[in-house]
Amino acid sequence: MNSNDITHTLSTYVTTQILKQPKRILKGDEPLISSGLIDSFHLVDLGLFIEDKFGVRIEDSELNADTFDTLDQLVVLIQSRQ
Amino acid sequence: MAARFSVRSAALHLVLIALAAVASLTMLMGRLIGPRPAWTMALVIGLIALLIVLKYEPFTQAFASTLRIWQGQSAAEASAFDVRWLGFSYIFFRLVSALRDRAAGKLPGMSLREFVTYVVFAPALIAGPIDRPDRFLKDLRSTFRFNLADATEGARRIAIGAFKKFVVADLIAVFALNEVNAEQAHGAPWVWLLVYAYAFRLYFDFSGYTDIAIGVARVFGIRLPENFNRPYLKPNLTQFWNSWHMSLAHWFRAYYFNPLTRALRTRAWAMPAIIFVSQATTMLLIGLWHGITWNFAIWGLWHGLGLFVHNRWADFAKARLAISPERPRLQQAVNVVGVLVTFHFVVLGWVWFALPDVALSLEVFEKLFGL
Repeated sequence: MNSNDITHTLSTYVTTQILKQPKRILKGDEPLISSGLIDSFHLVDLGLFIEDKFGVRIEDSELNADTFDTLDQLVVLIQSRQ
Repeated sequence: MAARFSVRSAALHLVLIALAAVASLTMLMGRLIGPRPAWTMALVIGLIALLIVLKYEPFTQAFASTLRIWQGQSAAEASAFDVRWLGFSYIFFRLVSALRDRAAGKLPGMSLREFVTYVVFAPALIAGPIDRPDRFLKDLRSTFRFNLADATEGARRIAIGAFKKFVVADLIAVFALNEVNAEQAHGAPWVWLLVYAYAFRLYFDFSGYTDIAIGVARVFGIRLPENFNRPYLKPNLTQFWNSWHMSLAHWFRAYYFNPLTRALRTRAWAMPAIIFVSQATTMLLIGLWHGITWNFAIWGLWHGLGLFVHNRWADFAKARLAISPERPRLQQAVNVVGVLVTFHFVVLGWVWFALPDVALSLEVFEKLFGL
């Protein structure tokens, strides 16, 4: 899966399952955690989704804005662990 | 003549409940998050037990009496101050972080000297901020060279912090809510003034201390994490807790909230139940960490329930009441209302935090609302 596919998969999951706004378009550099767009519960869900979909483990202590805050950063993190 | 200190009557049942709760939660987490080396769990439980002894004054007193008797002295000479451990509340966080990260294979290799420096780093010893081992080590290992920009920024933070803590906070402290003026004040406006003053005194005192800690560390080339980001201007309680004592909230998320939520999520609990249990227990533990009293427990639950209600409301509203970006004024108005509601929820919560017992807190609530 290339970075565009990963971005699309993540973006679709966030807009439909977390934000419940399927028509919303997320920019790759849009802050997700520090802006409050994704709360701490959905962050855990996102971690579980990534684990399930991409086979990549994001530790509990890494679920924060310091580790990743945008889709672009998350894609880099996933690719670095695949 | 030995100094004597008054000790509140022992609420043994409360301590036993707290001990049982902490032990149960620790065991529950141990089971839910998978196998961990037994020694790690034993050490974490030992640290929690030590924290409880140091946080609950009658236990501290009993421990001090035992030490006095052991040394052949009179137990009447004992005081809780005999066994105070400066900064242990924060040492506890760093030690547990290290143990948990070690068990997860995430703790970077470090020498004993580096580890001790991390655990008892002087500027952050007494009241944080709580740094992560990997981030702290990065700064510690970089070669120290005097840097004018760092020194200037450090001095600026120290000056701002000193002004906030020793001028603003100490001035407001004169009329901030406390045990004495809570009983003396009459009339809702005056009691509101006391409560508002307490809210601002606490913020300026703690954030001022943090500024000084960050500034001193910066002079030595260590960049400690920020702890405050305009918390009283946040439009909801979730954002308040993302901006008040941030390193504490971050620690609890990493080592308690996230593992618990992940474990409950994979066991297919209903989402509202997960949210309630995770929020309420996390905030209860944060409350009890400040001290094992009913008031701190209620303060924690106050915020836990507040976070739960906000979460449910946000979930309901985001799909149905989303405000169009083309209506910025409406969004602005909603934000202003949100800031006012959040601020007053937090301010009323401080009534539990500031006072030593439930009866006095309820008396203050009666005065605030003219009941």
